[in-house]
Amino acid sequence: MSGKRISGASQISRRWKAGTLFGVVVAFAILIFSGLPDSDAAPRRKPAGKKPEPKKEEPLPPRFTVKSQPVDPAKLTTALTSAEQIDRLVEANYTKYKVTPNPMTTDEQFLRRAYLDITGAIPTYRETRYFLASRHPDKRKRLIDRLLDSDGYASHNFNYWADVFRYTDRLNGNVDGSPYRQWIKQCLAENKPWDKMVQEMITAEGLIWENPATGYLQRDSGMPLDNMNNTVRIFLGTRIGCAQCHDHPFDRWKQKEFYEMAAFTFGSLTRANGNDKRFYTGNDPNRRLRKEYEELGQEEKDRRRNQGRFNRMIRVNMMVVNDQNNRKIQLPHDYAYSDAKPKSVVEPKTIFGKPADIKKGEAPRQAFARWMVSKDNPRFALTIANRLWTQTFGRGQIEPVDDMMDDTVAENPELMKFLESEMKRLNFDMKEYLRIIYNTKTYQRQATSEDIPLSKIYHFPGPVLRRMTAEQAWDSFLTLAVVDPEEYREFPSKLESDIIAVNLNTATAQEVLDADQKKRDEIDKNRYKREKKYKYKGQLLARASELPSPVPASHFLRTFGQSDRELISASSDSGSVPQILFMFNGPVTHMMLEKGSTIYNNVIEQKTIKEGVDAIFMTILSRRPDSDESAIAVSEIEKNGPAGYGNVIWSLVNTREFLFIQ
Amino acid sequence: MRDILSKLDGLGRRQFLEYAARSALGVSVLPMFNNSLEAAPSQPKGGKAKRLIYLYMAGAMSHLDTFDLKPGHKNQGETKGIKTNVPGMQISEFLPTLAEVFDKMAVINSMHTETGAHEQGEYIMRTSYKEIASTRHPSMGPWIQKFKGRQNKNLPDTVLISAPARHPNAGFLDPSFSPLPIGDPNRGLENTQSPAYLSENSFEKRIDLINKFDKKFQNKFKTKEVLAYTDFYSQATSLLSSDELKAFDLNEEKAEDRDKYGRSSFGQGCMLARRLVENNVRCVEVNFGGWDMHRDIYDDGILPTRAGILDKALGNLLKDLSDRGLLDETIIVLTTEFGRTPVINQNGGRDHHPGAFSAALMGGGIKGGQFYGKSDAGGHSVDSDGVLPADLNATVATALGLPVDKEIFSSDGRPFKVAHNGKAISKLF
Repeated sequence: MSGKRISGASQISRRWKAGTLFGVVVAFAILIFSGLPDSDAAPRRKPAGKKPEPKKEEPLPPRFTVKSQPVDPAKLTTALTSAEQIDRLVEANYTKYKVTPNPMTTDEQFLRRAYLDITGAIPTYRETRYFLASRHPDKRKRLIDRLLDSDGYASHNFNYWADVFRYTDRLNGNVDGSPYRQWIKQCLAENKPWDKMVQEMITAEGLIWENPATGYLQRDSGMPLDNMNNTVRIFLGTRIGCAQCHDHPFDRWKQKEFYEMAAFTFGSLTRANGNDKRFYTGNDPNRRLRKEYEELGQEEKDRRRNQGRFNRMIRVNMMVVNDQNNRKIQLPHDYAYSDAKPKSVVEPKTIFGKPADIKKGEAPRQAFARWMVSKDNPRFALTIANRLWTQTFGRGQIEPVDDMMDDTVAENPELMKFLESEMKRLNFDMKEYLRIIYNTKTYQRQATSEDIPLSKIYHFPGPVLRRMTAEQAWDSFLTLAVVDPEEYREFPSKLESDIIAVNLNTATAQEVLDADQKKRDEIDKNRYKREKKYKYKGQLLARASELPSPVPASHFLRTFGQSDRELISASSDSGSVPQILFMFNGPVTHMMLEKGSTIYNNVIEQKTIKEGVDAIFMTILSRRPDSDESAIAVSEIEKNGPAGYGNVIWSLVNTREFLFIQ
Repeated sequence: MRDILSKLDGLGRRQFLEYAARSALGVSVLPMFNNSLEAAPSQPKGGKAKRLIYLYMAGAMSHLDTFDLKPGHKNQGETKGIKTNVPGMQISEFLPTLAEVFDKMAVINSMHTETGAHEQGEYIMRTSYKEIASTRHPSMGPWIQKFKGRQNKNLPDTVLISAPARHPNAGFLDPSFSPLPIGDPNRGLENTQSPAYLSENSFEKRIDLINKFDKKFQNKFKTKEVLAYTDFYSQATSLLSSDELKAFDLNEEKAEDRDKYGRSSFGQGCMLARRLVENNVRCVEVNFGGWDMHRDIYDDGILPTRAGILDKALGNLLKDLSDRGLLDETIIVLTTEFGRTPVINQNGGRDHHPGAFSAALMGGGIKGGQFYGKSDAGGHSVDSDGVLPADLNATVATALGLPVDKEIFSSDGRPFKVAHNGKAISKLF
């Protein structure tokens, strides 16, 4: 985002006209077209010379940034061998079911899809020009690696997992989720093996700022049965929730089995008891501090106002995930089956696979986590292998990804078996697994152009045509409008935690109150200042993964189907009239057409109208116009002058070609 | 059943499940029994309602604290009853406005459902079918459009206010039947102003430009989803040039009238629903979340607050519709996915309880001032006249004059009915 924006229509028009003349400056574009070696990212050049330099560089507000782990070049050969094996297995089904595979993607189609699938946004004009001009034989492989190495990978995948985990910035009444949120992002960026990541989530102990993986349990605070139901569904692709109240009507799970599973985590609490000697040396700190609070001698008005804040501060500091190993789960009082008596105590027992051995002295959830993420677990590797396949192709080998039963059969059982074994061979390295899939011919085929009913078995002649997710649509809009959409990042949670963490054993009431005040003064009050520079018409112009979760219901993201975070994987990609109105008239559409937007900068660099049209097509659709399209656009601009550019841009953004991923 | 299932392959199993679900076997064995014992029920009248307002309490509304009080029973908790304007009938003290208009309400206290999981429960409530992988079932608004055709030229037939992203919407029906969602009723329909600096060209000309640029893509990808978007574009275009756009704008209402409904999102949503049905929108759904009260249910901000918001909004909606003479032709549904455990848990809250819960019907030819069905003394399970979500939907469909027995085929040739195998409750008409 640069410079001041002008909203007067006439002034904008003049700018556009001036822009086309200034295009002469950028004759070096020809250099780029002649094909540079494809080694690194397309160089990010400074926007055209016309832009005034900012006088004094303001320091950036504090930002949380991830540290991304690149893929290993040495593993490429193995990855390609695996990719070929996948293709062979897919092709076997083409023969078996007489399926004609789709043609291979053009470079334009591949580029756009790879960017959207791996980093969650369309490529920029420069990146497009660079890739299309390259004649390097390995340019697709290199692009895949480069995108996997970028921070965009974590950003895009965070959006996916935030939907699965129902991530909310307030995990429950007391716990702010940002340490957990940043932990998830960093795990994805550094490519922490999936089994490790999950194990940490299930077994984490302590306060959220000491151990951010506790966020997973905090999200279901006070709902241990639902938590088990969610865990089994998310990580083992199995729904045992129905058995919470009665034997499962469609699967084999019995209510008793549900309780036996829940027994593993039932003793894991999200709040410490004030009398728990493991945490508190003296008396219940809550009681002690509340008493001291009354003795602070505050004015009655202040005492009342501060009471809630004070209590909350104490509660926040008591949200310690901990295990009460003697806390046993009982069957409900109205348990109706003959295999056990109502209210009888249930011991932990796994529903399938090997038993989980609880070692002496350890919390049962430790054993449960070991059992769950083990390579021996029949559904753990299978579930993640199928999930990532589904994310890439728009259709699972097993559908849906989280409702497997004993008799579930994959579309291509040999392929599913191979994918699962690859996941294990890679020790749950998700990036490497995706690298393999992106390098398959199957992935690099064109999208299927006809309807695929949910009830029909799909043999993967190519990926399914998908509408962009809400986050992909938003992030792609930003790519058109904002010069550096990644500049704004969320506030580092540590800065806040350092203030609100209070040692309840030693703190005085005054210190608790001071901590609250300090947080208000240093964090809350500065929020507006931090965000101001990045706001346009009230919209924070930052990647979807940096925005609040959930965003308000009227936000672009929610209108395009982002989940409200109440239910697992609750996002949607169906259309609606308000979406169209956002595309027609939304704030980002407005901004895109103003001076200083990315696309504006791209156009004013060009010498002729025709080149301007090329730049517009390449920026929005990642391809050049064909001769008909070019003629239509040029005539529109010749007829309507500068405003014609606006009309062309506006129209292209409103095509289905923009919104769907070919 | 497990054994039969395991012998079937994937597709076969799905078909079997579909069959099982249809024959109500999977839904519950008991009610089917009940139904078959009923001596040749006479076809309920219905057909008076032209429009539907559907109020969904997401998270599961506690029946014991709203409409199904158990005074004197240990399960009752802190909620007390108050008198309504119908002698001898009581509802929760947190619903004083509704108590004044109880003569317009038919409360069902014998609802029950098959699942205690939110997502599945919500799905069954909205569609009458169990959620399965091989199809999506439609919600009520698109069903009405399917049977009666599109009603409005410019305004949509169905509007969802504050609905979750994963609403069943049009299900397998034509995606262009999909409801129009409104995120925040206070903002109404947003983004209706064009950017000022686009050319003077008429809007239509720009639309024409879109279609020229998109021709190649649209010729190649003729999928339902792509075609649906094309339809949304034309719906959006005609809506933008229409005066009826004002129907979405609550600023057209007087501030004191808006205050009556409560300035909560749900209150304003109910007012918007009233404006929309006044403008002949056929189906408006308003969602109100936050009923999942596992902890400290009687704390300020939890049940008393939720119920208070509901009371103000629905109470005034009923009064307004009645004053305008619209209540007879508008059926209002108040429902939720399941109830909450009668026994208060160790955290002072109530957990999920599919065994018994409450729903209510109002207007549209429904006889008000009555309780239908009973739960047992402790509010645990249904004592008499059990009503499943499908039965509730069949009652609503009957009130709207929809053919509940008519089978509609999805694109892959499977038959579905508007309320599955639900039976309308004739006593409510």
